[in-house]
Amino acid sequence: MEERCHDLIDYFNGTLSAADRDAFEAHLATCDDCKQALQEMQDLMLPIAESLPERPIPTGMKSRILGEVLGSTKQGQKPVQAAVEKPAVEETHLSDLDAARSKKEKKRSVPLGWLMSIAAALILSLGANAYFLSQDESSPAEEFAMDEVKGMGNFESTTSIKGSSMIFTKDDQEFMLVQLKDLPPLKKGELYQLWTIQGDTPRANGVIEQDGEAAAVFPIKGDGTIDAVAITVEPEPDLEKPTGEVVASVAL
Amino acid sequence: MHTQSDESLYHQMRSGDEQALEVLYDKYERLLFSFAHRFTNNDRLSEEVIQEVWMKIWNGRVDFNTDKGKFSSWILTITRNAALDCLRREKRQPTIEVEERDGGYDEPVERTVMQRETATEVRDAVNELKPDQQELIELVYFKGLTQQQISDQLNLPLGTVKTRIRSAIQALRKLLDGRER
Repeated sequence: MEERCHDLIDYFNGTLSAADRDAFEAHLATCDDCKQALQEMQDLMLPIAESLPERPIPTGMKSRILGEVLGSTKQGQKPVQAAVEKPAVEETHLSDLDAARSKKEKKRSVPLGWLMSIAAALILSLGANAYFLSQDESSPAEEFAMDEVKGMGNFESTTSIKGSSMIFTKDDQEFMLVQLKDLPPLKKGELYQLWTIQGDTPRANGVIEQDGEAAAVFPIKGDGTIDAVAITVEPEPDLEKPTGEVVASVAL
Repeated sequence: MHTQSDESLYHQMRSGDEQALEVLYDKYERLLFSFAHRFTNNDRLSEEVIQEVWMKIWNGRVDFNTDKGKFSSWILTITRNAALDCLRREKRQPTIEVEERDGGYDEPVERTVMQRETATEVRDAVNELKPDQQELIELVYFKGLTQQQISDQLNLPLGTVKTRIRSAIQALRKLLDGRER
C-alpha cells in the first residue's frame, strides 16, 4: 500500500488540507484499489439512507428552506409589495412556495434558529408586512429585523394541538408569533381565541377562525412581560375573560 | 405527467427554474431529513444541514455531473459533508447552545419515544455486523473521524484501519442488499 492510500478515509470525510486533497485526487487516478474502495463507500450512502426510519418533518421546513434558498440569489428582482389594504393582524394558510416567494424578496438580517425563520417568513408574507413598511418607509425591506426575542416555547395541549409561539419586539412594538397545527375542527360560530397572560390575568390577543393549521403574527396589547400564551375556544372574539377551557398553552 | 429524471431536473434548476428546485426538494425532503438526522439527532440542526445543501446546489457552489454517478448518491454525499461540518461546528460551540437546542421544536414526549425508536431501528441495520465493524461504521460514516483518530481510538495501525473499514463496508453492503430483497 502506498503512503497516499492512508488518506482515503480522510478524503472521504473531507478532513484533508487542500494540498493533500489535490494530491490524493491525483493518486486516485493511478490507484485502482483506492478508487474502488472510495466507490464502495460512496455507493453505500444511498442504501444506508434508505434503510433509516423516516423522521417526521418539522412543520414549515420546506417554506423556510426554499425561502432562504431562493432569497439567497434572487434579491431585488421584484419590488416588495406592501399590502396596504391588509390589516396588521391576519392569519392565513401559507402555501410553501408562496411563502418562500414572498420571503425571497428580503435579505434576512436575523441570526437564525428555525423559529426566527418562521417569524421572518410570516411577518413578511402576512399583513404585518404593511405595518413594518409603513413604520419604516425610509429604509424598506432589507432593514427588516427582529430587535429582540423575548421568549419562545412549544404549546402543550389537552387536545391534539401542536405548535409554538414566540414573543419578539420590532421598533418597540411587541409581537406574538404563533404557529399551530392539528387544531381540532370548530363548530359553527366558534373560534380559537389567543390570550396573553401576565401573572394571573389573561388578555384577549388575537383570534384564529380556522382549524387545521394556522400561522399568525399579532401585535401584543398592553405593556409588561408576557408570562404565557393560552388558547381557548370561544363563541365570540375578544371577550373580557375566557369562557371556554384552555385547549393549549405555553409558558414563555 | 411525465416524470423527469433527477439529472434533467437538476439542469433545469441550475438554469434558474424554481419549479424544478421545488420538485427536487420534494423528492428528497424525507430521505435527506432522516439521513441528516442520523448524524445530528436534532431537528433544528438537520434542517440547517438541508438548507445548507440546497443553498450550495442552487447557488452552484457544488456541481453535479453524471461522471459523479447517480444524483441521489451525490446529494447524499453533499448532505453527509454538510452534516459532518455541522457536527464539527457544534462541537466547538459553548455548551450554552445545548439548552436551546434541546428545547427545539419537537414535542418533548414524542421526541423521547422517537429517539428511542430511531436508535433501535438504526442499530438494527448495522447491528448484525460484528461489534468492531459496527464501531468502525459509526466512526467513519456518522462521526467522520480522521483515520488517525480512528487508529488512536481503536488502537490499530493506520494501514489496518483502512483494511478493516473496507471489510466492514463490504459486510454492511451485503446486509443492506439482503434487506432490500
